[in-house]
Amino acid sequence: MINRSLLVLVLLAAIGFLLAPIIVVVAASFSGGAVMSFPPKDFTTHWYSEIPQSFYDAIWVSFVVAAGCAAMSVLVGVPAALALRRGRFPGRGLLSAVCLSPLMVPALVTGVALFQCSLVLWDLTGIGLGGTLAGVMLGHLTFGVPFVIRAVIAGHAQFDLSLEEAAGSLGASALRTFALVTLPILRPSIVSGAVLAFAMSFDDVPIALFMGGGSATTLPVQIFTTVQFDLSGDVMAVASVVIVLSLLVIVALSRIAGTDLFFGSKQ
Amino acid sequence: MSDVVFDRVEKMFGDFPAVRQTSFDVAPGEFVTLLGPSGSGKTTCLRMVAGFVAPTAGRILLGGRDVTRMPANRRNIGMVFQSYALFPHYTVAENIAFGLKVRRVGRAEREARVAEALRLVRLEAFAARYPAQLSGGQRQRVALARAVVIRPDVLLLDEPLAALDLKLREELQVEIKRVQSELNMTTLFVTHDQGEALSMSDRIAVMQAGGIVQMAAPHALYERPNCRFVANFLGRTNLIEVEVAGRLADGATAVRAVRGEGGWAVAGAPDQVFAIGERCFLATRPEHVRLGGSPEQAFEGVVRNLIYQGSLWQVEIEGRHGEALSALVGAGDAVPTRGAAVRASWDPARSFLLKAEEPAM
Ligand SMILES: Nc1ncnc2c1ncn2[C@@H]1O[C@H](COP(=O)(O)OP(=O)(O)O)[C@@H](O)[C@H]1O
Ligand SMILES: [Mg+2]
Repeated sequence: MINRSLLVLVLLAAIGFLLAPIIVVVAASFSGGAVMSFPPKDFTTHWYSEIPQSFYDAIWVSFVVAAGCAAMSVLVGVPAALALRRGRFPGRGLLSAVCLSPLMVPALVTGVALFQCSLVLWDLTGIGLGGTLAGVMLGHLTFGVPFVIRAVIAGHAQFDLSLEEAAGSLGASALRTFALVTLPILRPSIVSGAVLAFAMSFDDVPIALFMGGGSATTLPVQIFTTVQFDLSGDVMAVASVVIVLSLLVIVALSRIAGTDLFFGSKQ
Repeated sequence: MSDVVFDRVEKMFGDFPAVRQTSFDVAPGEFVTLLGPSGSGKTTCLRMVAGFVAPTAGRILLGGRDVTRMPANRRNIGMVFQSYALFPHYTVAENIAFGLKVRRVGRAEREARVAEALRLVRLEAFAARYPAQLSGGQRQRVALARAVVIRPDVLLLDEPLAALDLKLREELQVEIKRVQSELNMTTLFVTHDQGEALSMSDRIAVMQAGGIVQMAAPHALYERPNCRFVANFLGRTNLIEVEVAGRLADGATAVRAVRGEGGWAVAGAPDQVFAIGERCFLATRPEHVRLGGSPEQAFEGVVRNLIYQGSLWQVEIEGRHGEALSALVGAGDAVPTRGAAVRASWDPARSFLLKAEEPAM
């Protein structure tokens, strides 16, 4: 048996490693003085009142994009996952691989490709997706949908198909069986896929960089462009606000759906 | 009129015949079991009655209606699965109410019928539990209640006890049988367990390689199997290769061993015609073989093995030419020692003849 105290030590180190940057950022946001410093010089909440309106706008943009991305990913990903699991058609294995492949491609590459596509689309149809919320959201579907597909496929592995037969034998039509049995049982997987899609969308820089801009600037892009020129306390304050918001969301979700949510399956 | 009619039904999976042209019927209130080894097509038959699998040929009637092309949810059947298939996100009561809800039975009647079904399977105290909080036996009782509460035309059970341990299995056999006869429910039951089939069924259809080899009441099937496969699938049967030697005055048939010098009488008219000189098998159950007896109805041999079975000893005897015979001896009786030379015999009325050829499948 491995030494228990060693395990605890490793765990503490891991937690410390994960928390350290967060602590630094939050501490720095309360630090007086012109440049960011750690440990904080003198305590101030000044930076919080200095957060420019553009950051609040960006938080809202990010939230709308992430929520839209999660919702669309579920709408596309759930039927796709079920088709991939249950359908009987040639090339099913290949199609599964294709559906999950965007996760393997660096987001920067996807971003450039999407940008090119939006230009072609503009040339051909006059529809401009660049610099719009819809454009960023669509871009984020390239990973949102695969995340949902992956989560639902994993959840589906434990799904007993005789449950649907039981519902059928009891008189339920295919539609009612789906609504009353299939969907509720797959819900934890769907939610965990959606949460991932939301989180990854909220986190993304490369795709939002190419597809967004202007009124469709997401928070990470806003922060990124700001810190290129100036690493001041207001950015730390924004970061701290986002950290607190995320924390609230995580606590709320684990209250509603349980901590299993974050591991994708029930243990 | 029969509740279930299986009329020359056939099912091919690609070019593999899972069920070959099979016909049988189940009378109202009757308990029929499909019994056979794994892969013999039992589940496929049951699933065709349920509507989960479409036959490639033939017709299926339920209560006189032709349901061959009807989807499962319109057939009014109750199905119990080996895996229980309880809805994990519903409580016991909600599981049982499912079929009633789908049928838009009003709330008051629904609650009354759920309560009645819970009482029937003696799980009144568990209405608010979730399936995960129940034992295997309790889960299967919920599944049974859920299936019968909709008053189906036929109750279908696919190896419902296979996942349970022996003690529970026996309890649930009794439970299912009690519920079935209380409701006078037409039932089609699938199992590979011969004991289960014998103790529960009104009639048993023995299946092999996609076809029914024999269908009869349990005692008839056990006493008079029509082929070696059935004889050895239901319990054990001693088979001695013999040749028909002649007819005896009392209508019995005289046979002699193909190997060695044994000769025996087989009483009663055989179910099939055996010509003089025809090679066939003399069949007798181990429990009908006793040690000792008269020399003219004897099997001489040496005790090769003794197997203790609690209330009985199973004595394995080997003849001079390698032919084998098994006898069951009461634990209170004199038990021979291994290696001892013994004579065994049996009542000619307790033996029968089986064709050398198995029925074509
Ligand atoms: N969906 C299917 N596709 C192909 N072959 C099948 C399918 N279902 C069953 N079979 C085959 O049909 C035969 C009978 O199966 P089944 O009815 O399940 O037998 P049993 O229930 O008696 O064990 C088996 O050989 C099985 O492999
Ligand atoms: Mg089976």
